[in-house]
Amino acid sequence: MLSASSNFVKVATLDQLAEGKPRAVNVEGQSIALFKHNGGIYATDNQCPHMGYPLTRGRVRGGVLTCDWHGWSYDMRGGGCFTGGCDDLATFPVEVRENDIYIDIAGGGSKRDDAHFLLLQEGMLFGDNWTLSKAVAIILARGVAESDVLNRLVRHAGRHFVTELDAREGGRQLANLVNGVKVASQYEPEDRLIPLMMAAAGASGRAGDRPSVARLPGAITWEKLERWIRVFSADREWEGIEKCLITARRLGGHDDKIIPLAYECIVEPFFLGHSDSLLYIGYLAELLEQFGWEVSEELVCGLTAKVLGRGRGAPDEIRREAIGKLESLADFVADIAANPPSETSDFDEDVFAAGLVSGDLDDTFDTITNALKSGAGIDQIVQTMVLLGADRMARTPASMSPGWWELGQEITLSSSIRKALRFGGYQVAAKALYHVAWEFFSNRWLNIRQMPLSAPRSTAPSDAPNEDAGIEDVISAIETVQIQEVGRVTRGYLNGDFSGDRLLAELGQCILRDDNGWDILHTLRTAFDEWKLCEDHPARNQLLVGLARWTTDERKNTNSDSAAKTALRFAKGETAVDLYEQ
Amino acid sequence: MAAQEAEWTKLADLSEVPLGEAKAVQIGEGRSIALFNINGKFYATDNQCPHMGYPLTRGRIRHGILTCDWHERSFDLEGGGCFNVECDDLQTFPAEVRDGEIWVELGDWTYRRKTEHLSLLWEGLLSGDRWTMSKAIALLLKGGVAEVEIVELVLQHLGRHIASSHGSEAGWDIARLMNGLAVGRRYNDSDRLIALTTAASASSGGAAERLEVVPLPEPVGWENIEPWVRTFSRDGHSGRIERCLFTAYTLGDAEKILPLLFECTVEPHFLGFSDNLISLGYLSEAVDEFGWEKASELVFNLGSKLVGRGRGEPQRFRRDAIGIMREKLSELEACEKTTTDYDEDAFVNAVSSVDVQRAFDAVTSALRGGVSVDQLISTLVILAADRMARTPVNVDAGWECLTTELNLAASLRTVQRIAGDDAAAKGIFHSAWLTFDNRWLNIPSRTLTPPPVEVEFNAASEEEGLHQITNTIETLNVQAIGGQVLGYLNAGYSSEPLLHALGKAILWDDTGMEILPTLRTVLDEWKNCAGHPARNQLIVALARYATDIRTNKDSQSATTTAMRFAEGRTTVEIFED
Repeated sequence: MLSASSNFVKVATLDQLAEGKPRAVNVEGQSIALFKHNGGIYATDNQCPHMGYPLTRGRVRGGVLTCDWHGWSYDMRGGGCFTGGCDDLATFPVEVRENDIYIDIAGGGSKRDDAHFLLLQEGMLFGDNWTLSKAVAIILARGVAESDVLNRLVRHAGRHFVTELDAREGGRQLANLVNGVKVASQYEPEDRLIPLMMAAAGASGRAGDRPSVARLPGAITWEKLERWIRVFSADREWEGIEKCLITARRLGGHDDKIIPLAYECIVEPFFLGHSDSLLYIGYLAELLEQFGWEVSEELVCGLTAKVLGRGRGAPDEIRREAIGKLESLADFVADIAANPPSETSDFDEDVFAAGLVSGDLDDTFDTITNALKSGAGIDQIVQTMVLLGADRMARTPASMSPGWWELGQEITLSSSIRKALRFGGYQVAAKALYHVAWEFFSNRWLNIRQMPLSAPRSTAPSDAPNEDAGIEDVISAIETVQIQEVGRVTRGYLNGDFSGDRLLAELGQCILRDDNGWDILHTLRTAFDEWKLCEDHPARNQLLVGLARWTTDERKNTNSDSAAKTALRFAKGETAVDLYEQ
Repeated sequence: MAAQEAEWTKLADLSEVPLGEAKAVQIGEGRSIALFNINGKFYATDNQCPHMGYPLTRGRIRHGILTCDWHERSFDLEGGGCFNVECDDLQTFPAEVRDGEIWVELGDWTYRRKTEHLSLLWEGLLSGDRWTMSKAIALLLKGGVAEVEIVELVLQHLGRHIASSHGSEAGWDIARLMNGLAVGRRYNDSDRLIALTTAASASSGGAAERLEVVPLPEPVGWENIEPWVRTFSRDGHSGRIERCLFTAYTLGDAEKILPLLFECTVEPHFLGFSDNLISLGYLSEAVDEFGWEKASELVFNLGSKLVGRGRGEPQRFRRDAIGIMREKLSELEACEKTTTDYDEDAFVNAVSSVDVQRAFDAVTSALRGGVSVDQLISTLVILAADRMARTPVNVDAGWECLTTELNLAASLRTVQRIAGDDAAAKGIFHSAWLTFDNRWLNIPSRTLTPPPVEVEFNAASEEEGLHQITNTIETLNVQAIGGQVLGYLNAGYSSEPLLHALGKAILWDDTGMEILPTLRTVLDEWKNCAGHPARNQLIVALARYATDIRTNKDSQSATTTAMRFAEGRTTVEIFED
């Protein structure tokens, strides 16, 4: 005990501490609360583990210390928390020598090694942003690998989605999860907390009990499973699909066929008008790529089944007509898929774009058919579609109904065809082009004048003296909600030969810090991808211009990063205590 | 294994199953095998749809998926796997053609699906589908699985269900579970199945993951936990109690937990929340029966919700009563006990006097006079039964209030057993309060020792008497039933078969679930109150209650079907004959 006692440091004298008059002392930079209660002396961390309010302002009764702010209660001796699940308070051994109070700062501290993971679990179960932010911040500050946190999120999301959500709800939460992770990876660790918190929120919610899904008995082949999955997809019976997927997993050797099959199902003509399925399967493919089957199985099998087996409603007349056209194109697509073009030929981008937004169903589908016939590559077509969406976003009149969300979908859906190509193959991607073309057709009500993408946009450079000032101009236009100005300022910055990469990064932070980050996250993530992929295209700048305009128009300035900021300060131990004590 | 090889059986001639058609073949014991001819290849499956027993020969087949025509459950025709949730796989058999005949390898019928059927039961518990639960339990029992294994699954589900989806009102669920088990044990076969299924139904509902409860960090001991639980209980902080209880358990103080919970809930400030005592009583039974490990989540979570429930601002009468009870408790503590004779009539008069001061005075003087808690409990039980036996049934008989009086009084025996005489004595005040609180019920006060009622009852034999009574219940003749039961008992016929028949009539009606706790109380108290002159009122009370609320809608169809289903003899015959 000698070595232990050598850690004791004197923090106060007995006469400085009275019953009912707690005292905060600073020991090695940490605020420690001292209490005299029923004759005993107690020392605890002064920061309330819930939100950091100083505990010296709390009340003590029967050995229970209750914080004055939200009423969280702790055992003042052992530190156990009675309120939340696991937010125990650090307490420290106390010794009284003569008239002096000594505490052992090294002998106290956190009691459980897994407390932060319990906190994460609590956040995931209740979907509370503060708890999630705090848990993620604490975990990362402790040097736990980010992948460890993410694996937990993915596992939890699997159970949550499959027991509580339908295809669309699950898909949307999945989008937050995957895009939060992808956007976070664009930033340095200290700037990742907000997108990671959004990812965590995407994974969060009630996770119901369910028995594990058993594989189908008997001799089953992949051929059977594949046929059955297609039948159940057509019949909207997701339970059967999930059973088949689990069986495929258990049979072994068929994992790589699952995502391609899912893609084949959702580009069937009867899925027209439900092209968000393309996004969801794309995110599932990315999830698998990053986390592997072991972590993602329940999520991938459950949500794939729900997406493939989702209800599609009775199509109205025009959709029925479009489905018919798509059915009649099946042979053409199959033929071209048998001999996909190897070299790009004369693809007239302007004619293509004009056809896509012509507002005429025949022209819309013909424009895809002609592009494919002309030998244009999928990537080339996708690039045009992405930038067409971006250009429309950069120019949509912000007065009445600008259609931000629809335009964001045009961009993300177009971009998702690249994933369909990569994970599903040429034929899937070719069919997906028609599904996304339908979305452009459906957005014909948007009153955006058509302009060729090759036509010159304004080339006037910004009058900012340097890059920093240029960035400042853009951010300030966004923060002061100058929707009529922000496009010009952004374009000027880019024309001025300043770094677009940097602007995108700053723009992203600005979006994430505002409450509308939730809407824009997906398009932001797409912009990060497409900014690189569209590097040589003359209209590339419209990606950033469109994004800047959207975020400005929807800006709330309600500052959702306060939770993240507080969580970061909290994780460092510098919190509300300083605010209140000084 | 030669005998197994010999299980190949000829089921039909080739010509009997034309291309694209199906044929059902009976193979004894009511089992029926379906034969299908798909593109010239033959398949054999059990003909009973594993979902509800419809004959699968009437189903449709495409892409090797056999879909039943009734509820559209689908199966792999070859391997038998079911593609839907809450449905078992289908048994399939190898089939081959030998010289123009269809031969099928039926194999043996050894039960091998315990894991699957427990999983099926769990699915039923999660979804609340009574048919799934009935069927799974029937199949498990038929397969020789011990009832205790089935019940443990139900209990653990209930713990999680309550912890993740319920507040203190969940006490009612545990009441029906424990009473369903207790009553079920007195019966066999389908009667037992219906009691078990009722218990399972009461425990069903959504359940979800919840935050793991971890013990409070050291140093902490029972000497800290006990006062904290009392404080949190008084303050209505239910959320703070669970972790304390779990910590006590991990510290090895499990046996102190239930007494503490009882002590919390007999405090004067809990007057008016006496259902807590009833529910805690059932939690104690769950621990007795299943042990701490299986019952812990249920006890810690529901126990916390019960003793930490919000009680609101008491209104005038309750506020006064709380004050009087506090006064009386300190009086009792201060005085010496004497030994006096127990005047039950005086006690009953005071308790049913519609004067809470008088009632509490009577309780106090009985306790001071050394009357045993046992004896007082018996009086309260019989008093409640007597009130049930006499309540006018024309407007509002007040069954809910009266059965609570009865069940509360009986639950004091558990309080006494677990937490001792002092806690049970406090519980008697709660019981007296409830009688006072139910004063709006228009039941004249009387003593429990009236002369025997003369009732006209003409039954030549016990059997005929039972028949008459059952008939009266089933025809909902509530005005006649009380007299008949008394007449039967006064005629010297045996109470055992009467209780048995009554219980059966109750179980097979849809109101059985509601009556279960009272049925169970009467079955127990009939023994506990042996020798009391007014004991017959227990059975009269139960019979009147059951007759008055009876709907004659039977949940029996699910149970009967489930039993037939487990035998393999099901709707197939209904449809095939």
